[in-house]
Amino acid sequence: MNPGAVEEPSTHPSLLERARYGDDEGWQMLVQVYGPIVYRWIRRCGAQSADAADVMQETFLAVAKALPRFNLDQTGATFRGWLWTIARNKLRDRQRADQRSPIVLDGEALQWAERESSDPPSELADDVQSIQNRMLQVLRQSTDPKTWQMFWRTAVEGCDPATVAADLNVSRWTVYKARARVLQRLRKELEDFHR
Amino acid sequence: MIATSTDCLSIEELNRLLDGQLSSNEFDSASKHVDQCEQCQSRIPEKWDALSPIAKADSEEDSVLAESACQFAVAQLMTAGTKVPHTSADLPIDQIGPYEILGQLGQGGMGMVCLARHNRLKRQCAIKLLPPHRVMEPGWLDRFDREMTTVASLEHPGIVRATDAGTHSDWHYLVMEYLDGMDVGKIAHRMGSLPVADACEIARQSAVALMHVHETGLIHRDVKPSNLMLTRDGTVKLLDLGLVLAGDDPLATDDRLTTVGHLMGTLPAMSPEQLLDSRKVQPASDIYSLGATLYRLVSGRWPHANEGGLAARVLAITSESNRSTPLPLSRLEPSVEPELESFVGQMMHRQPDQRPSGSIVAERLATWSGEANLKALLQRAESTPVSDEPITPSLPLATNPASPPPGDSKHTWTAWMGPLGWFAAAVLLATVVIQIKTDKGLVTVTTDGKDTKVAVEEIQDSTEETVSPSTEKSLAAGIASTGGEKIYLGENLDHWLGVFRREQQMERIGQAMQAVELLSRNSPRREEAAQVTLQLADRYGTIFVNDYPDQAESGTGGQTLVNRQYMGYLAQIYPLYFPAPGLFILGDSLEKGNTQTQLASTVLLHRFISGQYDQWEFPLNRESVRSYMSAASNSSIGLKSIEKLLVQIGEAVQDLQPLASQSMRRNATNFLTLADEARTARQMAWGSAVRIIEESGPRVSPPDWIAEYVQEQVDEAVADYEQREIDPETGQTKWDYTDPNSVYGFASGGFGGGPQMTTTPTDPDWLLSRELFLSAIEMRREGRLDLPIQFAAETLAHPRFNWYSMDGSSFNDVVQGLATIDPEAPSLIAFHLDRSFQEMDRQFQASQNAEWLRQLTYFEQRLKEGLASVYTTHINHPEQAHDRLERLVNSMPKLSMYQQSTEDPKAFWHAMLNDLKQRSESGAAPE
Repeated sequence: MNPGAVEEPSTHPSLLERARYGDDEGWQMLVQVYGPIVYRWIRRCGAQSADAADVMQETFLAVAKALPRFNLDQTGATFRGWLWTIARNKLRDRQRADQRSPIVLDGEALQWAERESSDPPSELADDVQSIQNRMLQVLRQSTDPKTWQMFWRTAVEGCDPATVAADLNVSRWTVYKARARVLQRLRKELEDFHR
Repeated sequence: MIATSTDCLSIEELNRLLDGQLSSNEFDSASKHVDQCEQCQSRIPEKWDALSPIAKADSEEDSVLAESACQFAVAQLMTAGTKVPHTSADLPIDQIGPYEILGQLGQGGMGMVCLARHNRLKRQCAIKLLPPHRVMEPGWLDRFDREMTTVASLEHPGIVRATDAGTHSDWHYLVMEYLDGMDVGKIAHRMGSLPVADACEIARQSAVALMHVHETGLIHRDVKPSNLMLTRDGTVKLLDLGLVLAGDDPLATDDRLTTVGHLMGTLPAMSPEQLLDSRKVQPASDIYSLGATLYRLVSGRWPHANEGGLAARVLAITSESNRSTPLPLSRLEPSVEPELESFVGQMMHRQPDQRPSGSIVAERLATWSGEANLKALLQRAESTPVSDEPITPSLPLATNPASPPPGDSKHTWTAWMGPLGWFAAAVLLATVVIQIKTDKGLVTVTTDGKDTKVAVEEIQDSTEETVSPSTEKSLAAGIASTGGEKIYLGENLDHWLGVFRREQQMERIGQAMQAVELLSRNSPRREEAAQVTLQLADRYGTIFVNDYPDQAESGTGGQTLVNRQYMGYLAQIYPLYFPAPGLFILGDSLEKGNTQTQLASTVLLHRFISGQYDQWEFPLNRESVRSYMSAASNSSIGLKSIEKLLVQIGEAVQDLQPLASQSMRRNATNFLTLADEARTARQMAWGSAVRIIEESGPRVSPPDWIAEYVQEQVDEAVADYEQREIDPETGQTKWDYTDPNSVYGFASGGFGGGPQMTTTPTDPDWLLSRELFLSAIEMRREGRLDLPIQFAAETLAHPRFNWYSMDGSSFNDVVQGLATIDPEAPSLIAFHLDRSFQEMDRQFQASQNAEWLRQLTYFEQRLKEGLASVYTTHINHPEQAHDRLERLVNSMPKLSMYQQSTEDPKAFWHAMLNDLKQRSESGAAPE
């Protein structure tokens, strides 16, 4: 029907689901996408980079252990909130273990560590943006190049779908469908993070 | 729901399909239908524009994401997989030869070290185990045997003693005396710094043991606190002699280098020659390490600890320049005598032949170690309660020399970072490469000025070993020197300066910034270089910085993205000119530049002042900025330039005022117009100026504009406050729950999604920042400012007022300050806090959504600092207040943030609830 149409199943399990079931690739993507966010939180709490790296690793080791038990639907928690809770506890553990040479907290960062904040030291919008950027990279790796091109040019570069369809010699619907498919995956991943 | 594939989609369904809003199953069935339905396809709207959010994909990213430590950690985690690495609890074997294995003591240079007991002699001992699979791998058994013979040959009270060795079902083992005590690394970790006499005694005993090692023709190569054991009888013993023969070195063979934290902890004790080329290690290298260890024990920090990242320290240690001299010991520990300070400096002399021998070290240190009491030190350390859990997680690092990563190993770095390549900083900007030769390969440390990377590269070509005796190479891309003139990528400074005039393409401009900075180092044209680098800000300047300029999608997104890309390059390179001439050129730009230059300069200044950089080339962090500023203010020239800079910042703040006044939002979280940028820039500039004044000390007096700005901001906020929306029912400020992020579209619920439930009030326009508010109260007390008490009280009690403790000012001081202005203040504050509680209660009761209670946590810091007692003593109906608050607090555990937490969120509130109860029972009227 459409000569250039690319079919691929749209039922992708999300990163969280994949990682939960011990899928190595899912885990790697999860770490790539969410690791830096956690690292940034810890840094914002004023920790030095080496400490932040270690705390981040500890956080994810805990995540790896707890992931099979973590159920978004039941707890009503967001993945972001859950990550932050773990990260904050790990940071605190480390500070306790390290009382004599505490992680130096400076300036404005202090507020986060001191007020035991329930929210990570970041704007949700920034986190989502940052995750979206990396998520797009991850999705790109697992998306057929042509589909990706149709998505990227219309959704990100803002090209007219009709132009893209003409360039690639496919129907307009094919372009729309490709874009919708990637958007659908992206939305699903981001919903896991913060809904 | 979505129709079956035989029915046409409604326009709404079609839109949701196109926007990716359907679930996977719905998507499949709907798209299957449209695949075959000409009619549905024809109803696809001509123009589709709901996708703006994705186009923002370059929004401000934090530079910390590019830090190497982060990338390392991510890479390690990726290789770890979801399987949690095995813990120390798993002992591989429980009986070896005549020894019963009791538990694990640690992970040694090669294998596990276990506590064991001889079956018949019942004597405890430590056993080092080489697992069978290691025996098969080349090199391991040799090393193990060597350690065995080495330890056996080194009979000395200061060196751990070997008692037995053997093999047992393919396991090789080495039995050593069991030392009851604690390693000095742990002691130092617990105690911070040690008494000078104790530290000297530890170093003295170690020097005696090292003397013996050196006399035997060996080198320890890895002297550091954790390799010194303090035993219960007060003896220090050298541990870990697996490295003492040539051909081994800690960087290459120590598989304890398991974490980023560990790598950073191992390098600071190493001598320059060892870092530069580990094959040049010599007995004097051990002396250096011992000196660095002594410095660490006495002062609580490593020499060069303030140099920033890993590469910075390595550079500081290996650099020839004076700048890299560590802080004098007496500055950190005043009781250190000048002779000791200079002797430790001598031990750490850059030239190995200038360092004292082990015997001299032992002799001289005895001068200061007379009053040492190491037994007491050990007892104190043991009674210092610090958890003994490892400071660093024990993930395997991909550099394990016995099993190099797959591939041709040409660039292990690439192997680790490959998957992350897209957010690793670009090679283009790598400015410094330190290469440390080890017998297993080349450890390369690069920094692009902000970000540090370490790579391990296998040396494949053995001829390589004979070339390039100087292993410190500057500039990754290669500066070559021809006829005395420095060139970069084949071109000289003049060429690169010209690029700024000719070039439109941003990557090229970034490259030119890089080149000009490199080529102007130590040249009289440094100032010109800085100026030219900043020049294009008049066209591209903005407050937004794309910290990954090399990954900017070129050619798309228009001018905004190019501007941010420019700022990304600028923010990476310009700081290399700080403090001089960078700071003062910035001052001129703030004063004389156009709006865009002023925006760019403000960002650069703000980043510098707030220490946002981990640079090695110039003062790195706030501490350094502080010492720079206070040092400058002590000379009349320096004082003048700081004062001039402050005036110049004021000029920019004034220039930007008309534009900023057009901004609609005070507390905007997103920025749509240049006016919004200008408003933010003014705030940043004011903040930077205040910080400069604070850090320069008392000799710098604040220029008038600082107070005028506060005045203006307070007046504006008060005016907004007076026009705020009033709830007709209560006659009080109406709570506003508009999602502040809704303009993003994206954040609030995905593409075109419905508005998200907001459970916290929005920052009102009249809400001042903490800094401005504190300044306002100061000025009100001096009678220079009008600060309506209602406004002040409502600000302090607003859930969104961002209070944190800093500079020693507690919340209570602020309340007291207000009370001296108007004695009604505390009751007003209590009243408004009560309003918040009532509102939360109302919303929570109505919705049963516990997230409404999250606001309670926003108050915790303030309550802790005095707001609690203001509330409990001044609230009008303590009984009601008690019951309501108790109701709220009891529901706090339902908050999502506490779901995975072991802490009891209610504990914090007990005291406050008690006070309320007491007051309601005593029936006392409010004070």
